[in-house]
Amino acid sequence: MKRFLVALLVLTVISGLFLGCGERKSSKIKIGVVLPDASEERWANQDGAFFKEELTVLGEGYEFEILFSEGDESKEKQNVEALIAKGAKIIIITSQGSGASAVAAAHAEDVMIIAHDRMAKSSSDVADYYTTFNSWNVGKAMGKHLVDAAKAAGSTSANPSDLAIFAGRVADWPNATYFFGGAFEELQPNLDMFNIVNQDAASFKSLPFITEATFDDAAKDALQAAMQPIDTDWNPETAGIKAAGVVAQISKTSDNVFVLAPNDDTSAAIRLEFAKMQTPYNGYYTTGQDASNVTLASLMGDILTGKGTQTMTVFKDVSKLVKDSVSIAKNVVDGVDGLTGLTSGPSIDGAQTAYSPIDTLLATNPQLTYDTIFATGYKSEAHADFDNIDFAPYK
Amino acid sequence: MTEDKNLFKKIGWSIYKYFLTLISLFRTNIRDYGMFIALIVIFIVFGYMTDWIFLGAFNFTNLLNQSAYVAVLAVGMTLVIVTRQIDLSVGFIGAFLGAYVVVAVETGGQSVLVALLGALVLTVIVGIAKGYFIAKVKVPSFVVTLAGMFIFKGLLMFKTGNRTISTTNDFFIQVGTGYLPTIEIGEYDLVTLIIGGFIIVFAIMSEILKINKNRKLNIPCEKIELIITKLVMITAVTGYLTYVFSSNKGISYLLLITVAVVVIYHFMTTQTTLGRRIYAVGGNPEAAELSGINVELILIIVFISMGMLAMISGVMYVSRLENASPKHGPFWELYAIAAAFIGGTSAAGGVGKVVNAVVGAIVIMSLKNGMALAGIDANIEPIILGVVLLLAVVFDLYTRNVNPVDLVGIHFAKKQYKEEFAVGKSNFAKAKTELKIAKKEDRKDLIDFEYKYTNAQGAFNKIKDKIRMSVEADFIKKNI
Repeated sequence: MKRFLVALLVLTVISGLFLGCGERKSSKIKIGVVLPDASEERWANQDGAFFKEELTVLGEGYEFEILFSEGDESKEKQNVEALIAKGAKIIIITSQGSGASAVAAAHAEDVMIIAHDRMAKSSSDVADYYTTFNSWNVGKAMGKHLVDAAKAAGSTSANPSDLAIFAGRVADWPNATYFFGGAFEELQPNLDMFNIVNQDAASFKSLPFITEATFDDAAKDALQAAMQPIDTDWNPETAGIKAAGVVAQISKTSDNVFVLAPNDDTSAAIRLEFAKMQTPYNGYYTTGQDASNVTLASLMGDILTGKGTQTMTVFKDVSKLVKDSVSIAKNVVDGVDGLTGLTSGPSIDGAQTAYSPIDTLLATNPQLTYDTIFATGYKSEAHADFDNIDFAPYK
Repeated sequence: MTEDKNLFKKIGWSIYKYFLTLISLFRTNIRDYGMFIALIVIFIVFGYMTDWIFLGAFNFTNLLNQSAYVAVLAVGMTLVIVTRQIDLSVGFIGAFLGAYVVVAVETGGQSVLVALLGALVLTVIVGIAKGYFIAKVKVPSFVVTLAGMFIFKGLLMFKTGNRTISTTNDFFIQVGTGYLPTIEIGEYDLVTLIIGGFIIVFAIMSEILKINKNRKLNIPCEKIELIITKLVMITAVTGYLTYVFSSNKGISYLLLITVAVVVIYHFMTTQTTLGRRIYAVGGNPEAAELSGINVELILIIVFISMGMLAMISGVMYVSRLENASPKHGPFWELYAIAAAFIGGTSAAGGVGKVVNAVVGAIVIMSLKNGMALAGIDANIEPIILGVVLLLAVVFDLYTRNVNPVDLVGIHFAKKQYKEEFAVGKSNFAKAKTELKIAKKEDRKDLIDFEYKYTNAQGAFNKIKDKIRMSVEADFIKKNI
């Protein structure tokens, strides 16, 4: 019995090793990819899947390997070191933390780094390339939506509407700060037609007018200081807790409320808290990002009770971002300049940056939503989440 | 002609004897050597799966650097487990102390030395508090350290202000990613070669000195074959490591700190009274108390030592990753505990070697490193880790009552007691069959047969034990 148990355990270990190995590919690679968390939808099923597709298409001479860091920064450095040991010339990384150690490890071995969607830098060194959506414009789209919707609902300086503000994870630099900064570029000139219901409204009112061009270290510090108390960590649970705190001390002054929510998941959680109010608001307008299924459903007219009812989202076509990163990697392996054939723009933190376009989807324009998402086949109409929607009028 | 035959016989016999001695040593000390075997197996398996990149200089150096922080924690955790306690708070305490030093140096402008001293003071205070609650107030260590885990998680978030703080000070860069200054000759680093050579010479000399001392004091020393084998192994391993390090970048500071910690703790646990007392407290706390050992003080000391090692580990971790972050800390203690158990520390207390725990840490990290290299699905990794841990503990349980075995002695004994053995065996077999027949026939004097059976069994076991317990020394004297 004893021996049987031991043999069984040993067999499990060995079979696990060989099963998990997959196809026996050659050990040497040219391109390495490190993604943060295999259990998050975005990295496993979107970016991860797109990377596999795009890199497999490149074929011979562009061998690649994709590794996940499982939310552990130490594992991330281990992954980078493993990829370098296998001969990678260039590593595409979405860093878990600040990416400092990954950049240091790669540059120590003359390997280039592409920061994919999240910047990777240390205090003295930065990634060679950075692919991103124009996060400032994403923020501007959010702010613009709130201002437009408020004006359409009749909000003026004499008759201000309630405004609740939330931000993403401050540590996710530069994205969260740029989203917030862009949104505030639109909101700040129009603050007089809003009544901020957050706990410390004064901290937002005291922010100066900042644009992408005038964004400097002082502006960064000011914005991040204002973001700290409303940092949702990109996490719906944390967003719910922050929202509950805001809701607990709200004294309503208007029928409508406008909520700056950093992305779709947090927007849904915040919505749940607002729905718990004694006398909920009649009109609920909120921003979001990522075009999740639930959001798309509500934009197409399906009001799912208890879920995020959103009036706007920003669609970032992740496959385009992945294409950009892969193109840069291919250029580097071929020995030409990384940004050949890509849309470049102002470099962020000293890394050469390539930008991908974004789309703003509104509840008031379901046709655009249909054309961008469903007509292109990005998401399937047959999916269970879209059961309550009739797509006929849009085809 | 017969002389040649005798020579062959003698040589053949020496070789045979050598292997028998080796195997008996291995079987006797299987608890210690078992995990080295596991390590070698893992190295070979992953080496094969990765076209030997796994064992290459670059990856091997990285592997040791990656294991450094777990190894240091495992050393401290071994002592904690030996005293029948557990410490679940070391992860967040280590991360907090690392963050404390980083924040003090980067934003507080203190010098590194002052920051480290400050962290040390904090560590001692926390260790005393933990030890007080566990030893004097008698709260189970699981609960106290679990509470500590939550408390320090919160303190970590406060300390870092919920954002990552990059390290710019040269101290952190050196500790985390720096190497001893190197002198290149050809492709190899002279400093490492010298250090490696020195270690080998030192090992050989200390063995020779030990043999001389034992001879002078008339203490029976270990068999010469074993000494030679041990020296060969040490030379081979040190030689390989020296080659690996000298052809890469030399000896990293992380490795240096780890080795220093292990040497100090090995010395402390094997050569000082404090070490003996710690093992006494773990093996039998009541007996220790009655022999005059201050059990409470020993427990407090063990937790302070764990705290200090957590601090060292935390500083090593933040230095390697070049930033302090509120996300650091989870699971460190679990890896340390797993490393201690894989290294043969017993869950019942009183048994556990510090050096083996470091090997356990390397086993865990090799699994992670090797799986990353081989491109294995990240989801399978924790499953494999868990199964390996289970195997290690099961192995520990089954080998707990291993008797020392001397195959050479058995070989001689079998020859000498051949007839007695045969007689005993046949008697036993006869008694067994007679008993079976008597049972079938249901005879009235069944009890006589049962007596005969038990007696025969006893005699046979006696012969078997005599043979099993024989030692080579018994026969050398006789054969003179």
